Amino acid sequence: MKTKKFDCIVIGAGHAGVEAAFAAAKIGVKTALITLSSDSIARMSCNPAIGGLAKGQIVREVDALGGLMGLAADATGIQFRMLNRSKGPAVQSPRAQTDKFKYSQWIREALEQTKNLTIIEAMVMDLITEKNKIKAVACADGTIYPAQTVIIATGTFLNGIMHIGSEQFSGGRLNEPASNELSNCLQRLGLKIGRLKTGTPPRLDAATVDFSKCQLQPGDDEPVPFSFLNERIERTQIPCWITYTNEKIHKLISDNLDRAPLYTGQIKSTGPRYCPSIETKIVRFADKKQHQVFLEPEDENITTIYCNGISTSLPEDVQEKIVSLMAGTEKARIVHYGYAIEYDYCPPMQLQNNLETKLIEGLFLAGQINGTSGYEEAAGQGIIAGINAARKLQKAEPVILTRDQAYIAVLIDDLLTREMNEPYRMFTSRSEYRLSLRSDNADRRLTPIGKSAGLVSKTRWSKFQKKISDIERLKNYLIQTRIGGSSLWDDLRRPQNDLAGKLPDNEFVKAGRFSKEVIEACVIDAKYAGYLEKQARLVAGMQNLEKKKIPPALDYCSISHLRAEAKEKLSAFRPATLAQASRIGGVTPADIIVIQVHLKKYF
Amino acid sequence: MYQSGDTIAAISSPAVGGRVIIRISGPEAVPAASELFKPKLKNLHRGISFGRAVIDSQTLVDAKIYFFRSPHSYTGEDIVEIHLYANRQVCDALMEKLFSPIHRRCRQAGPGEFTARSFLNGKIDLSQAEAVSQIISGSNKFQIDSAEKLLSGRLTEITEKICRELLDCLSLLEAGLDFSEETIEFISPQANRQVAQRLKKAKGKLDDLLAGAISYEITAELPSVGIAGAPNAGKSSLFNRLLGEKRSIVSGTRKTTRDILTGTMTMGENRCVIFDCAGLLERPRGIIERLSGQAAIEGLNNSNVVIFCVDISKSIADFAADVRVRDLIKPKSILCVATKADLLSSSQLSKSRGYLRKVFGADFLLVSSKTGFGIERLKKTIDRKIIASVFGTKVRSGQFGVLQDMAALTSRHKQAVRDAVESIKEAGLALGENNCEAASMFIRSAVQELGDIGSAAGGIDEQVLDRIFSTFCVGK
Repeated sequence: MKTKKFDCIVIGAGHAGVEAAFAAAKIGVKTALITLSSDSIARMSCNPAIGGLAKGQIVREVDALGGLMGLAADATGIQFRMLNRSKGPAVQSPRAQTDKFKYSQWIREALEQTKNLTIIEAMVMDLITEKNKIKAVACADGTIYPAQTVIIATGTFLNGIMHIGSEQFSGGRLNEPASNELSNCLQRLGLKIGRLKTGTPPRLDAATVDFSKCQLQPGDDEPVPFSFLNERIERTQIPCWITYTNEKIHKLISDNLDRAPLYTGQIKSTGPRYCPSIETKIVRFADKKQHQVFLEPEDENITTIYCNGISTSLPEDVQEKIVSLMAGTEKARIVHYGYAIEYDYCPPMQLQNNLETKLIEGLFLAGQINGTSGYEEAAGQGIIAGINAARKLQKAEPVILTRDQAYIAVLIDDLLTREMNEPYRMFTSRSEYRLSLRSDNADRRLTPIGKSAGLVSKTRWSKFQKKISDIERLKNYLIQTRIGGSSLWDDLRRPQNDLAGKLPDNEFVKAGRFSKEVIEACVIDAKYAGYLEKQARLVAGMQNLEKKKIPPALDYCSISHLRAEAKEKLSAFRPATLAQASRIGGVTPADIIVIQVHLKKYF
Repeated sequence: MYQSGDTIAAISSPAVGGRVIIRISGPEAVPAASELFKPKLKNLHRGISFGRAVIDSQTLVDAKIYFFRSPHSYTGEDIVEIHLYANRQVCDALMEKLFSPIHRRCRQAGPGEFTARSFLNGKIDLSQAEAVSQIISGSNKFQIDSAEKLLSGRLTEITEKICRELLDCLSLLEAGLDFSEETIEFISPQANRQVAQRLKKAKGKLDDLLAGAISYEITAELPSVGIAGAPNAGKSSLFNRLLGEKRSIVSGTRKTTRDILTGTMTMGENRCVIFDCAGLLERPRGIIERLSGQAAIEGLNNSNVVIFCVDISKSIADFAADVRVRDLIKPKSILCVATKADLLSSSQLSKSRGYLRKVFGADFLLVSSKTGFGIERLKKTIDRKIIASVFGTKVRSGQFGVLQDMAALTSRHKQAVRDAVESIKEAGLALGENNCEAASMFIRSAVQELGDIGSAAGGIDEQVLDRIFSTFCVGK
């Protein structure tokens, strides 16, 4: 039996796994990334795009901490758009179509060049523990890899079952085997397992699509990069196209519902409401005459097209007919059929704030296994799990972001305090700190934290410090310069005189050679200043509760005067702080005081 | 939401003998209190100071200010107590100022919150922990009970409806923010105008609620005691005796008619509204008598306790008429009182009292409004009956705090509604500037504020997403 020792082992090289492995290795612990195939590293199994509303903020946060996703998207993006441009800066999010093959390649190369990181092709069969501590992982080829920390980031691979019509087959992604042993192993260790569903649309051979019949959707004239390290994107952009479903297609689908696994009872688990299949859309919104379908190139050479909007698990012949009835795709050839996939996940109430399981010390979970959906949500968890596995090995305090610091924290906190009914996706409306969690200030929020964790490069840090001091300088100038009684800073709040637009022509600004980002940062800060005060008032007091820790062993049932519902919920979720306790459904403010009183008395 | 660390305020003691204490606790206690005075309080030192509290531009009220510096105070925080001789309206005006959004430094204290802070800051003995928990969890229940009872669910019914409307507006805005990539009809400039219109309507409803709340509050928040009996049963003398020199006549309350005199009275642990109405007639003559009689009967039937007076000095044969008068009303709780006891000798008294017991089937309390005989005992009995009628059961010890907290309940509601109105106004302004993300924040704030009145708001984002997903076809 072969053995090879590592400090940290990451199982799965999807968007969570790669960030986790990169972070851990970068911080300096000896890390192994185990994947079924190096070719599938950072694969985009769903749509070939990074970012989007709320998700774009997460990409910026991962980047600000020193992660890979933003850099990879900038390097391989083929169409960039800043979404919500007409809305306020807090809800603007970057998004990019990427060449999915190049994206995968880029990440793989970045990982191969990372010190302390070994990529291993293997299938993990078992986790070896001792007294509820992780000790090693065992692979199908018989090799044992001892490690003190293990991060599982296996996405949809645990007991994955794919559906196309009445056909069902085991698999983690198209043409890739599922991992069934690992799921059994987790259950054997005492972790609870649940089941979720998601799906994808068919992919088309681009050469067989007549784009002249579709609406053109170009990228931004001035593409904005994800990464704070990049100032501009130089690549030529590729358009996307829009077409529509029609009543013929809707009728076809209605006629074939008896062959749709979602409606025959073949699929039992819940899918996400925000990613409904086309059959679901047609059943639930029968009065709609058409649905939008985005035809998105999957690569720079436009060889295949992703049909964003018709995710489906209908049988192959129905999928073919749908495509043949849609404007522009009448003669299109389907390269991969759409499918639905059901998979195991670990209800995340079993996790601590650092993404380590409460049950097994040293075992971390990140990404879709925690019931989330989306590459960005996965990456956000990945980087936190990687950092915290490394911190644990270094016997350092974990890095726990708070809800006012990052969407990543909102995500993790929600996972830890909510009942899961569907795969969790981020929306800006999930954050009570939306006005301050913006994509433009992710670096100001998180780069210092990434730096102290040891993830931030010298280049990034000096660039960041320059930006900060420039912002300070410009801000001081704006506050101190008064024209007609009020300061420029105050004038920025009044949209009518368009001071923001004129700022680049200001003498001081010109002389100071402030970057576009610095000017933008000041303009946004000024615009939101008043509202941020209100936001702070709304969440006042929560900060205090965030600091109040609850002993992990607290027996809620022994607390007299705590209501039965609160006892039950709190015992299930076991929150880390009083603030978290207060966010659990069914826990009232009075319950929080009762707990406080109890803690004061006994702890 | 209970939060430690911020500044809370409450009318901490119901007007005992007309004196009111406004208690403010927390780091902002001094600046918050200072704002209420003219001139503003400067260099407040430990112990007693004097100042003039500003009620409105014309009215200043003398007040004593006690300042207890942290940690040497009941709660362990800075505490300012403002003691003044004033009625409820004056107090409310001051509380309103304390909570006003302009110089908002503190918020209304929750039930038992001063005690809880005191405990959490190690100011009261650990052995009292259980009692504190009991008060808090208990008062929560009473809060709901009394809120429902006193406001007949009307307030929550209205606020919940407005809450739902606000959540609808919110989901329209949020859909425009979180799903703007979809081809959905609602993402248009008209949608914003529509939302603005709907917000304006919601605000109007809350404004109406506030306008009606003032008189509603006075009668609704205090338990009421009615004095009933045949003409010349000694009701008015008893009324005056009970209220004594310190009586304050509350005028302009909506539910009273010209024929009903109202005052507030403080007994042991309670304050109540006490009212005296025209004598009840077996056979009213003429429309005026009939109407005033009906109003009296309605008022009596709705009050928590009815003191039924019979003139014990009159001839025994006349008691039958009093029984018929008593049968006109259906009180929730009745307390029989034999008045003018000073007019009879003790042997006559015991004979007449025995006869009263027989014809009424109830024990009579002997009083004399003239000499004051039996009045203290009567007050104690009223106090007990009120507690029993408000809580439905016999009162347990240690629930004193609960009674006080209950009195603050409706002003808290009012504050919540006022806050919500303010938030909706700001949301409208933000919408006008097409600043949807700020508008959304203000609407959330309003939902939260109104949520404090009824059930917990909890997970606004989930409620909004539910609405979006069930109303619109979104998602690729």
